[in-house]
Amino acid sequence: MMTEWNEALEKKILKKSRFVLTVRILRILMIGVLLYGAYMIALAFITDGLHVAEENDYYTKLALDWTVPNVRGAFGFEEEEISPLGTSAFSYPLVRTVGKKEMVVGEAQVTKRLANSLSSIEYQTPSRDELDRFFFFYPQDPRNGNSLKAYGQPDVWNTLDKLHEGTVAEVAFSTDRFMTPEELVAQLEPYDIDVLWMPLHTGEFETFTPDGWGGGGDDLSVNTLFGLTGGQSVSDDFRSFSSIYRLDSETIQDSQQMMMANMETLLEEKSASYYERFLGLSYLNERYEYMEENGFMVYGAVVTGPVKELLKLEEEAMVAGEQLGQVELWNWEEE
Amino acid sequence: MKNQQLEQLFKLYSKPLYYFLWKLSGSSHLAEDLTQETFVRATISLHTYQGEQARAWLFKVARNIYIDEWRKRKRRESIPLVNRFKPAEEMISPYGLPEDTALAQEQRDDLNMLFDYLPEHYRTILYLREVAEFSYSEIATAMDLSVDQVKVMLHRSRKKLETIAQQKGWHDDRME
Repeated sequence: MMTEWNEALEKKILKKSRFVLTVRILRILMIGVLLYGAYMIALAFITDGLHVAEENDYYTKLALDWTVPNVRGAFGFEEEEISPLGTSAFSYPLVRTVGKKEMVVGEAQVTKRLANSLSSIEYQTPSRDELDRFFFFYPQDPRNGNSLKAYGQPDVWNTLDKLHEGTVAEVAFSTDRFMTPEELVAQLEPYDIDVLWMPLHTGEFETFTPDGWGGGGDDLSVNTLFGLTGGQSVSDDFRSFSSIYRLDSETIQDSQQMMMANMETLLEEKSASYYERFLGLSYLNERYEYMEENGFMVYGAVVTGPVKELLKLEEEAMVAGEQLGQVELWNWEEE
Repeated sequence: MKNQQLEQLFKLYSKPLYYFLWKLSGSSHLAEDLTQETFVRATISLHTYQGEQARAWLFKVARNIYIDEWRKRKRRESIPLVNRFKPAEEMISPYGLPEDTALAQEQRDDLNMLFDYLPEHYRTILYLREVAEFSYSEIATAMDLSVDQVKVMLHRSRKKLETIAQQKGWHDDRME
């Protein structure tokens, strides 16, 4: 039956068009929602499966260990939702060891985007405290072999003397010569203190020029420190860790091996933009090669312990450029 | 695009579109569906077209929908049993009726019948020019051609129509 054009037909077609259009829009929206849901579920599965957050957690804490004296990321992390663009964001507390306890000093906020150059690690500290409060002086100029001086805070020993014996503190100092970590640990063995961190000479001024450094003619210190701390290792799935919490004669070899192994893994498995731009580890390759060839050379330490024990370091001839860090009430008992 | 404007366009062009699609497909029911589909698709991108351009563009959409419908049916034919559950209404192919098909006696004097022997692009161009009274530039927009190509194709389609008319022993002054 042929249908000639009439008003009823016009209305019918218009009504049908509207209905179909509405249905299609709803259908597209539904498909969009379903696809988005499926994508997000898949993304969550993939990132979970690849342990993306755990991996970034491990490496950002490692970078912190190496570059900021006596500041570490606390165990575990708080993960936020992964974004549709694959950005994973998480945070963890920052701790400083004073005595036998870890004191929370701030928070790290890690935003890992797919592009390393757009990823960031932000350290938040109350009232803009400096996380990196210690500096270390080279005992010798690597460029010409000249002996150099170390300038610490004034009155460190005097302050320690005045402090009540029921307190613990952290102290940083430089040494009057380059030493191996084993040597320095052995030298500090007689004292009832924990050695937490040692600045390393990793070829600065020899194989590369560090990004920031200062010197007044008879002293020299670099701003981008690289140091040895208690070693870290992790399983392939980044789910189980082993950590060494201090540098002592029993574990000093392990800590060095672990550090080299971690550097090697980063260099082999990660892109330069990952460790340089995201983790902020400059000249990692140059440092690794230098340490591989010359071994570990340190020129200072961060130590912690009872104040009266720390005071005894005044008599150590090798100690120079001393600085006093955080002081806390007595907690010098192994938990 | 605002609903009001779309409704205005619908009021203006739904009727000629309907007859155009009827002409192309040979079925008023199919023309209904295809007209409705034209407006659904047009809603999405009509805002870029104004005035006469909008008319040409609507006809272009309609023509594409007709061709899509034909292709869809062809695909469906290759799937077993589909047509058994959903028998499709008769539809004139874009390639036109086979020329050896005889004209029904009672329709011998119907010029329109001759149209059905033409391939779709000849039918469309003749319809747009003779029935919908499109300008060359509007036809060019509707059929994705240049104005010169429109003129050439119009000439060829008329020649083709004449040839078919002669084959069928049919004569009309309008063919002169």
